[in-house]
Amino acid sequence: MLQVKKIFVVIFILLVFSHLFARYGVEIEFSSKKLISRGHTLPLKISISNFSGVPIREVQVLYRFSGETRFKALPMKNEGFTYLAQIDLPDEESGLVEYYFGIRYMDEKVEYYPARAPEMHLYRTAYKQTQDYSDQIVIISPEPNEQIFSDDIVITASFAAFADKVDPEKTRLYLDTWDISRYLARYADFISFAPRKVPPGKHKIRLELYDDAGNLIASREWLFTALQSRGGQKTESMLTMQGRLFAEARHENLQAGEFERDYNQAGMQLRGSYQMFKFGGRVYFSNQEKSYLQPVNRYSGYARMDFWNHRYVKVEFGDAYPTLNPYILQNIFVRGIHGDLHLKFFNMELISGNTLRALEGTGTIDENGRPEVTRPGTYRRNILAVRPSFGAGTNFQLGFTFLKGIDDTTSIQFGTEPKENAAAGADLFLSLDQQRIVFEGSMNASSYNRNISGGSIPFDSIQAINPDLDESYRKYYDFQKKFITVNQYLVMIPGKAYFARLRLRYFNNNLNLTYESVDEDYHSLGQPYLLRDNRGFHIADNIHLFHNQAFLTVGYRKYHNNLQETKASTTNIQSIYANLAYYPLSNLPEIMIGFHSYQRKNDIPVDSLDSPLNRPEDNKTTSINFSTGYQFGFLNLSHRIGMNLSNYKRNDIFKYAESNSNYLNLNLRTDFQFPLRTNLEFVLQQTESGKESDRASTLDVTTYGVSLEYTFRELLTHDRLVLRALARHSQLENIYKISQIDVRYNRNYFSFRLNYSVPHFGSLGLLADFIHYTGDRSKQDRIFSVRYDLNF
Amino acid sequence: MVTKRMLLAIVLFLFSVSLVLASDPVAVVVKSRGKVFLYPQKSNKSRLVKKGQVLYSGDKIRTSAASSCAIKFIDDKSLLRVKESSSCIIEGKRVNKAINKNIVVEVGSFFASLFKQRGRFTVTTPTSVASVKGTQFWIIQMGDGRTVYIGIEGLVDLANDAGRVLLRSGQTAIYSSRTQLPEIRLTHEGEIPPMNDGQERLKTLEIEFKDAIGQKKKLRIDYKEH
Repeated sequence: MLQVKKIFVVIFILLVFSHLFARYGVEIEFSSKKLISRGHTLPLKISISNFSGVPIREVQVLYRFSGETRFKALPMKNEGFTYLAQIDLPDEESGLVEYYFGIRYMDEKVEYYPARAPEMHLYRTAYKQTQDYSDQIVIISPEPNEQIFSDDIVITASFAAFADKVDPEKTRLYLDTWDISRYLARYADFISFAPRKVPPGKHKIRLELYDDAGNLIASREWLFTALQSRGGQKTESMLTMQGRLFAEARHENLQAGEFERDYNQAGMQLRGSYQMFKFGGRVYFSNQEKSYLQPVNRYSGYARMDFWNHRYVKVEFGDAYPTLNPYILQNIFVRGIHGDLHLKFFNMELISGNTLRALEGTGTIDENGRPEVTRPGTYRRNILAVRPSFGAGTNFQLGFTFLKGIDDTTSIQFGTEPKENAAAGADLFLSLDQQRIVFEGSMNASSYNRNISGGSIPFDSIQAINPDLDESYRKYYDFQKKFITVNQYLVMIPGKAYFARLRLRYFNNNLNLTYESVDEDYHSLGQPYLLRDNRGFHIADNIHLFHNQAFLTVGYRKYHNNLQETKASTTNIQSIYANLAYYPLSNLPEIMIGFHSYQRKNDIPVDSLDSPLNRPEDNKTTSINFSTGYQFGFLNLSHRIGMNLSNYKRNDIFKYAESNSNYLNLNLRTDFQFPLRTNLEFVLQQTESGKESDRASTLDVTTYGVSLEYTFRELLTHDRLVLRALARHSQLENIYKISQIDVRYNRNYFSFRLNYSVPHFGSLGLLADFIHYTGDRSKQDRIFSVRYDLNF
Repeated sequence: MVTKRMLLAIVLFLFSVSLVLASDPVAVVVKSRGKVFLYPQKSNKSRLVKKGQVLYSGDKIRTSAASSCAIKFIDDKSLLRVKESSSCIIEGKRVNKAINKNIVVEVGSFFASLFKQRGRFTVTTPTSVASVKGTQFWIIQMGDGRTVYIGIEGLVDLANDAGRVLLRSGQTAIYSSRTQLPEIRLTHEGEIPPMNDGQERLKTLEIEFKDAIGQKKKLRIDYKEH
């Protein structure tokens, strides 16, 4: 009995901690911004403390914008415990972005954060375009379209009219595609950079100015021509090359030495151009590359020739994440070759390669020479996809996509259930009235065989195995035999997926209407993240109010499954959401209020004991959140204060599954007159689960944090040294009613960063992260990293 | 403990002093040929000027023989070319979001070009003060003490103890002393100094015409000679 109780407690720990821990032994910290004044991107930072014993292969953020149904995947960059990414925001003035994180481990298991995303939980951030001060930038030198000798160039621009809104440290300057921000001389209301020499030819300068919060508030681009020599002789464009390289070594010591690992990685990226040709390449090496795992190293190269008016042909080889039709090929890594011909009136894309490397399994050979599999391996998976299309895609495009994916049965000896798939689709894009009316749609069908090991067999043999297939299915057999192996494992009727979306932008409204259906039998080996057996519609509207100071987003989604009526019950899902964000033009606090209600219900009676797989479901999760931020001056210092307040409540027919969670986050950022920035943070989280059941538990987490950042300039020459330190103390208490167990522990997190950069020589970074647990849990984790970056 | 407090106080004092004494940057050297020297405010020590050098109010520029530089003010791109064997002091005072500029001419030749001007722009010589607005003109401070102004475009308001005169484009004003009005005449051929810094000379072609309703209009074409 005691043993059963212990197991029960362990299960509860895993369930209750699901919002803090993904996999057992993995702790995740993420604080979402509820609203931002829009720059070009939404920066995301998530901390993952992994002491599960299984290294993390990759972390992705999956995101979509209001009105969209499909999520796009974006790999995150790793620095110590932290993973970073930036989501490019669309051109719309305001909107909502929804996102969650996917963590893939080396054993190929994938977990999502928050738990049960995207069906039930998602992070949401509202964004709005800030006032644009671009036209108030004064270009001092060189003048737009000026012709100037290549060794006479000085790039200077001033922004006195709005200098009080600019954070000079965040200013970015680009010369063509080369980021030269680190070489800038930065002043309160202007920037200057004097390169020794600029290659002759036409060049573009782009200046980006950001405010304290990291929002882009002004940008200017202008051209100039560098002359090769005194006397005004203009030369032809010469070969230009840019690139970056990095190398990083990281040492992890987890659980006081119980897990000790070294990670080393290095990479280089090159881009070049010569007249009408562009080319480039990328290599990435990691000591995690193992012949018995899927590839971690990355290699790619491309060459592109531009014709007139944005027409081009491009060939890319190596590793890529191509996207053709989102229902057929997206969010998947392909190692092979990618050709792209873009002539606008006619375009062609071709992708050929493999998405999985062959990994041998284990087993024996029996007396008949057949393999007996003990542990199945992974077949090499080949795909071939082609998409011809008509139209440039600006106002019109009609495309047709074909994909064939097949596991190579000869690639390994000990494997089971090699798969094969053929998918085809047509997609249409049409826009009218300067893209105020946009229609998108696609229709797709797929054939999927989950086990082609025996090869094709006659229809009569299939009938003998499955008597439910009458002669009316022969036509499907005859049709699919042309594209795919047909046997008893083939889904005889091709699965279908279709989608239509209408977007209307009038009278300060951005209305999206979407209808989508994906059969349970629809599969594409080129799109692994498709939610199948799902049909429904989504209506969303984004409204600008009060001269773009406020915007309102409202939406309604209704979906159901069991499209082929093969399941015992149908689950209906509906959600309603509304967000109001207010960005006053005057110096008043920014405010966002959000509401979201998500409901799942099936038609199985509450008291049904039919099967563990067909359990009744009727739950509703409601969340309300409030955020505000305000920038002000006090004691000659610049401050920004922010507050997030959220409540999540889940009602369920099973009382033990109910929960109520409150979350409060307060933060204060201060910029001093000398280059010091400090940040103070307080977080309070209280969760109560299963209150009216005998499985009740509570979880309280209180966190205090402080961080400092100081910048030294011109210690030796034009160098820069940035020092950052962060300390965070958390107190956790978890009480279980049934077992009377009270788990209490403290978590102390310390992070140190040092970054030293010298123009032309790159930057060197040192990182150290420490996590120390005391109390009922006692562990120590340490990560040290050294990183070198060079842009050239 | 006492020692630590004293050290902290000294560091804080130095910070505050540096903040108080620091003057704002007002201009940038966008071109430099030959030997051009910068004398920071209240300093006798000079250093060579390179392109990109930021200038603060009170800085002095001196060019050697066969040397020149071009300076642009950061608020409105006002251009000042300092020709060979010349020296001047750059002064600028920030008012709101503009800079009131004053060039204290010691000796030599200078060319000023102003468009979309913000803040005042004055030139102070031993004999006179010139106030300009949206114009191009030359200032030549001779070794014998005379000051010569040559108007290229727009109007220049000249003043000294003797009174005020207005200089127009195509005219030359010569001051002999602070207490006498200048001699004003048409600019002679070849009187305008050459640029001589490898840059093409900026020329202007003006065409006067009448529009459909009889109003006089002027079409101005700026071009460079190779």
